[in-house]
Amino acid sequence: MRVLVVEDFKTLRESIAQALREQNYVVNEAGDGRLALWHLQSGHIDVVILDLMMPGVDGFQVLKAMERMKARPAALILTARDTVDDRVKGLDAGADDYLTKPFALEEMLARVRALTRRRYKVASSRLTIGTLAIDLNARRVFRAGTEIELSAREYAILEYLAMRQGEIVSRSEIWEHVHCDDSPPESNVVDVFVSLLRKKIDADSLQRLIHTRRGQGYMLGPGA
Amino acid sequence: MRSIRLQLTLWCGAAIALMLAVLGVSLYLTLQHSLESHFNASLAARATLLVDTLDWDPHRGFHVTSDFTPVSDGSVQGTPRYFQIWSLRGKSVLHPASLGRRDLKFLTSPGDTGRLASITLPDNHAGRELVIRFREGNSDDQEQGHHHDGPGHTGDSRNNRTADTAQAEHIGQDYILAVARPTDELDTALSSIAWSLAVYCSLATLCSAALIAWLLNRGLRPVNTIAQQIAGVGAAHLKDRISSENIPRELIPIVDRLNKLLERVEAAVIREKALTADMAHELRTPLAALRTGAELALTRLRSSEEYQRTLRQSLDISIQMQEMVENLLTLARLEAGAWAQVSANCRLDQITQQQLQSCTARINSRAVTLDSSGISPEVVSAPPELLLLVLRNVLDNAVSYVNDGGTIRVGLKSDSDAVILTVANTGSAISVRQSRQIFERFWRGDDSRTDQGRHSGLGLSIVQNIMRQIGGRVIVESSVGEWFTIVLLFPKHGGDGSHDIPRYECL
Repeated sequence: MRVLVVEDFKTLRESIAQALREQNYVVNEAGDGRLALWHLQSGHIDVVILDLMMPGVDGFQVLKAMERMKARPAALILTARDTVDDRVKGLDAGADDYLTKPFALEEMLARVRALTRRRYKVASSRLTIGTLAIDLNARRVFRAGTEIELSAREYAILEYLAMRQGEIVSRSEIWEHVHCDDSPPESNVVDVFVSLLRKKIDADSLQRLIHTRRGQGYMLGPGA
Repeated sequence: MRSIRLQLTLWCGAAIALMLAVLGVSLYLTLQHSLESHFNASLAARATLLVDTLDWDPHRGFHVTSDFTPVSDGSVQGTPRYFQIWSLRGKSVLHPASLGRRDLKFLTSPGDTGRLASITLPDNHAGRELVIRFREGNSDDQEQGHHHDGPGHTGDSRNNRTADTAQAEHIGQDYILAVARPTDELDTALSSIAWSLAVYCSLATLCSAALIAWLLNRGLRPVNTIAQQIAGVGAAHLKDRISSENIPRELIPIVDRLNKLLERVEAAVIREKALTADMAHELRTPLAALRTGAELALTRLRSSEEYQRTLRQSLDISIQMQEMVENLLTLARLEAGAWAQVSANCRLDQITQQQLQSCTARINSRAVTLDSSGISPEVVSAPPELLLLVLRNVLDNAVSYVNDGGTIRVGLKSDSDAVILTVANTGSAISVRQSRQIFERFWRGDDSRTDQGRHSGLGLSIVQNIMRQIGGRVIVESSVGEWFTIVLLFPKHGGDGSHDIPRYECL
């Protein structure tokens, strides 16, 4: 999942970004609204953590610009303003959630998880596809009751495919939403990770869950 | 609490009551006068008639020859019940039986028109008597003769001669006649008039008071409407204005003023809210950074480099917050007027030089040229502590925002009105438009705001505040890429604030 952190206080922005990266998110950072809008144009941001009071283009203007986007990311406002008026104004401007500074890191991470689920319209934090079960909070995967050990990147790809289960997901989409920044998008790194993942998930099972659509991408689901 | 409605009602009611009372009393007096005149006239008529019907003979003395006959207006009927005749010396010469044993009041010298007196009648009723003086024998002889030979006067011939003598003495003699009448009817009439007038006037007063109260209520309704609208204005409804629809012309200036006042209050509240929001942002953001940094460091075991980095960041943030808190406290104290303000004559040039020296390291590290040749010795009377604060902030601002390799120029001179300190630096990033905002709290010339480290955006607010307090002014001139100049005008004689400093406006 890709998160954009928009915060003009550098130290805070870096701490948030690092905390998210340690949770296997792909993180982009922006120190002001203008840079935030530039990142948002890529269309691959799942969640935006947005400070409202910024010089130049402020948080409200960013929210307004997001309204016009096709795949609108979920927005978590992170602000020092704590009055009811401010919360109402922020939520009315199109934000999905509101967190007041200073905040507990755990709470922020939980809210980002919740917003990610909302972004992909997933109601529960436990996803089930056939005999495959994914606990999104504990980041653990089970196939027919047996836990499967996955690397961070394998888990990230599985989580992304599971969030969009039943849909065909292109390689570049996987590349954008999963931490693959150390390789160029046209490389076959996604295929490598998917095949590793397939070995672990589908190896002992008769029913294959990860399907390849030639020329289009991958699909996670019980059907063929 | 004084109520306009109550007061107006009371005053109008009192005025109407007074008018009605005056009207009632004069009406009563007029009626009384008329009734009494009528009464007195009737008494006089009776007296005249009585004189005409009196007869005298030597044997019987005075006697009434006949009963009165009704006269056309019906006011005089029959023989007056109470009358008496005296000689001039006060000897009663006719005392009718109706008087019983009592006498009417004898008055000497009643004059031609007679005299009136209030008396108590023999039947113990209140009455009035008219006393007149009359001369017997003035009536014509024929009548006298007629009386003599009248069938009711069968003479007693025993004292005929004496009688003749007496008659001779009697003719031309003056007598005093008193005629009395009870005044019961008159008094009853007058008192009933008085009562009626009192009752009607009181009723009229009450009715008009009620009418006035109703009219006032109606007339003051717009005031009530305005009062209700004002009562409805709260912190949450500061946008509301008092509507001037259906408001009488007289109240429109008040409504206008109130609306202008509301506008100012709203603007002040908005400013205050913005300031609070800014302050929350400026204080909570570094706090959040401290907390998140610490929490992140504690999520797992990390290398000592990572811990050191976190500690260094925390230290930087703490120093920045300390600066901010100090500045906020300074501003709060300045605004509360809680600063010890003992003015002293200070050598502003020396203070400036000292402060410049403390900036030398920073100036040199950025290859900035310092031009302090324009500093001439000047004395300013102000609290030294405040002067230090002003200079520190102004010079710090210049050193922070001068471009690398640029120039800072400091000048000090005086004209007839003020001591003028000029601090200018090259590389201004502030436009003319932005220079209006420069004294706002938390405003920073650069766009990085909180991330600039030491700068809280409060320094120039403090400068402006202090300059106001010591009776001076601060002016800013700037154009992007060129000079940014702060001009401080100190009052020349004493810092009581009353000294006339030319009123320069901020650009």
